[in-house]
Amino acid sequence: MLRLIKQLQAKGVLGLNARNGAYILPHNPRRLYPLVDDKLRTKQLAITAGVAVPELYGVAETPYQAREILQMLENHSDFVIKPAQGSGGDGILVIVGRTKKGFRSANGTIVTKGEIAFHINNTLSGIFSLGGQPDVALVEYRVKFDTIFEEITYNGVPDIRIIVFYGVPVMAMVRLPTRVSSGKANLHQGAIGVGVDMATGTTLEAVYKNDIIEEHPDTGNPVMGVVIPHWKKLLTIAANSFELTGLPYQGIDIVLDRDLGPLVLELNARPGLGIQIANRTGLGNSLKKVEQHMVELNGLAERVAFAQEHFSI
Amino acid sequence: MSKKHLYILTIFLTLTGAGIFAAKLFVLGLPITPQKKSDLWEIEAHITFKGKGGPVKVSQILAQNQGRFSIVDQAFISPGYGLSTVLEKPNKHIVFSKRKVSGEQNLYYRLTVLDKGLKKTKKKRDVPIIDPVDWQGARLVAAQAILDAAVANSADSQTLVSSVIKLLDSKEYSSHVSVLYGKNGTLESKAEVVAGILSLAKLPARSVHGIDLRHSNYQPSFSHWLEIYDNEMWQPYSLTTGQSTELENHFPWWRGPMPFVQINGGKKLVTKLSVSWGEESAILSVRKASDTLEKALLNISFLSLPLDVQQVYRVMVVAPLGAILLVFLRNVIGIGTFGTFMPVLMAMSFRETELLWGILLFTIIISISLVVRIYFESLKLMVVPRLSALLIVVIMVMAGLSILGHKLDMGGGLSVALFPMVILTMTVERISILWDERGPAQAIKHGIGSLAVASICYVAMTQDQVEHLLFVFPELLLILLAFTLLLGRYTGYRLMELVRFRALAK
Repeated sequence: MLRLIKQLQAKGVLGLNARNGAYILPHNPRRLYPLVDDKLRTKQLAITAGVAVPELYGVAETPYQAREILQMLENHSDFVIKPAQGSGGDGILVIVGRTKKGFRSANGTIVTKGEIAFHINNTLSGIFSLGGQPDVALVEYRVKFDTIFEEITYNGVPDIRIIVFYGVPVMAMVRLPTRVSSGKANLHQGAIGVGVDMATGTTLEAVYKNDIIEEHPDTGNPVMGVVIPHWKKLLTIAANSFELTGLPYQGIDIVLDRDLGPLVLELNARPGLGIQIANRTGLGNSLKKVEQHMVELNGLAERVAFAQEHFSI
Repeated sequence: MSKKHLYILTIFLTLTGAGIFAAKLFVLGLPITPQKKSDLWEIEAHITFKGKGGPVKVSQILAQNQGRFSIVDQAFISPGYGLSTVLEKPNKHIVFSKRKVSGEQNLYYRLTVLDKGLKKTKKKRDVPIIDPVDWQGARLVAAQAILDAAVANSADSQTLVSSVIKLLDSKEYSSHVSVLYGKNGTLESKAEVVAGILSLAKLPARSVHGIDLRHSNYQPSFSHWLEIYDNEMWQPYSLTTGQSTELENHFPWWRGPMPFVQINGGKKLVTKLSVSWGEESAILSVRKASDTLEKALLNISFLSLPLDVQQVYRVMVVAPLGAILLVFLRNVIGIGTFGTFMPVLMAMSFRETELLWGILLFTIIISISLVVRIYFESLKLMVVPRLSALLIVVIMVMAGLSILGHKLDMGGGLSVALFPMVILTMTVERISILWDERGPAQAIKHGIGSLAVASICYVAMTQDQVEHLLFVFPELLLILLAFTLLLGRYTGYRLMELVRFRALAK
């Protein structure tokens, strides 16, 4: 067992205690958490900073506004409704089109206007926020994800998670929804995590429920060797997220839209550790390297170049 | 805040705790292990009432030396009250009086009883004079009928007693019994009835009220039994079996139909008893403490508090040990549990239910409530009403189990009432959320984890040695605090993470 610990330490693998005790608690000021825990505030921050996000159609803060939103939605045939403080991808309603009776959701069922209003009201009551505190509902643009992931995605939107430390992208993975994860891109819900080479944006092996795999379990297509388009732009957006929120240690989730390019979905002050398994290496060594060179790195381009040079696998 | 600061703090806490511990150990000579061979009991009667603004007189019956039991020490805590004793054969009363009393009042009577063991001393006794009961009419007829029936199937005074008790319990004589008891058929009134019936047969009998000393450290109520003058001795008889055995560890307090405490000028009278099995040397050293250092040291202990408060702390001081175990199991081993302190609170209620019963009842309550919760999910209820509805369901399940347990005569079922219902409700809620979000496997894994942690905490918290150490030396809590603070900065791997990340070690 001691040997195992030594080996993991040599690889710089972070455990939860180390992530919390050595990075999150000392580096991330608690007062900044609301900026990332509330998706509405994150979105507003991003918009003012000129970072591309899925367009916000409307916000419902009261049941009355829910009705106004329904009126407004007459102009859109597809959209997404999500709780601002939702966790684990819960409470996200994806509408892909219209029918005579109402709307069609992503999993094929017909949703009436009344059901959408009920969903919004549930969101407002805090049913999807873990603490149960009242929430607001966001209605936004439905991402049409880039065809590059079409072959290796099952019923959902794949996204790219990048861990950023003091503005330096440290590690990245692509999260692919599976049948088990029911379209959600969270690893603990059964999505696949695929490691990414930081220099080129090429996908590596994948991790599915803590096991290494080479093919998508539902589509059977290889997940390795896919080159993510706009990779440098993605890294730049990630690096810029530090300026956005001021949180030194955070994870950023980006989607690739086939028309609009990279869009920032959300930020996370306590990103999970599964990314280490996906990349088959620990975060610790990279984080230490950033701490050593932090003072020399000025500006976005330098930080991105540093990441591409040092964190290539 | 640097780690150095934390280390200095923990060293300071540890040294302070260890210092006081050592001083109490070596200066006061407090015992480090529970004293098994002790025959001392501390008994305390705590009387509370509300004054009405006028004069108050509270008359309470005092304990007296009783054969094998002798009273080593007794004390009254009754601020502002005048005390006087009154002899009212065969009992002695103490009367607390005060001219103007209003608001909530507390009177304490504490005595230390020494059990000298079973020495049959055949001292010459007064020939007992028992006043004949002044029963008339229906009561006298009923009593006489039972006595006649009992005499018919008994051979001597011993069998007479047991057959009277048997007849009182039989269905055949239930109408007689209700005439004799009046409205409330308590064991206390049964004692008077049996004594009365036997006195009709000219058999000297009296009711006795006292305390069963077999279970230490609990809050008992008075036990009632009977004494028959037979063979030139007062022999105790049980009121339930009619046998003269099994009353050896009963400390007799007073005799006859008098109530334990009477009050004039007050209302809402409540008597609370507590009994604690003495740790002889600990108690004796409390009495010995004379110089200032010793007195100061003793102030850092629970031994000078009223007994009922002491008993609360006996349970409370072991909770920190459960908490530190919880920290260890969660942050160092990596066992997932529901809620932060749920396992410790469960462990504390397991003290009452016993471990296996506790786990069984816990599982049943959670399972039934979870089924209802999953049904609630389909009703799409808002959060607060949903939690309240769930709380109601949990309480109904608990009540159902208690009633069922009682009907089936299983003691364990009743103790379910001691489960923390709000914690159970939150646990059900968390399980169902986890069930939804991460699947049943994860939820069940966490559930088993919680039960495992609760069981480990229970085992640790119920060790006599642990309870003794923390109760007699509460300064050890400082050391526990220091350890917990250190664990708070533990940034190494959790044991479970080694399994999770094992593929990375190559």
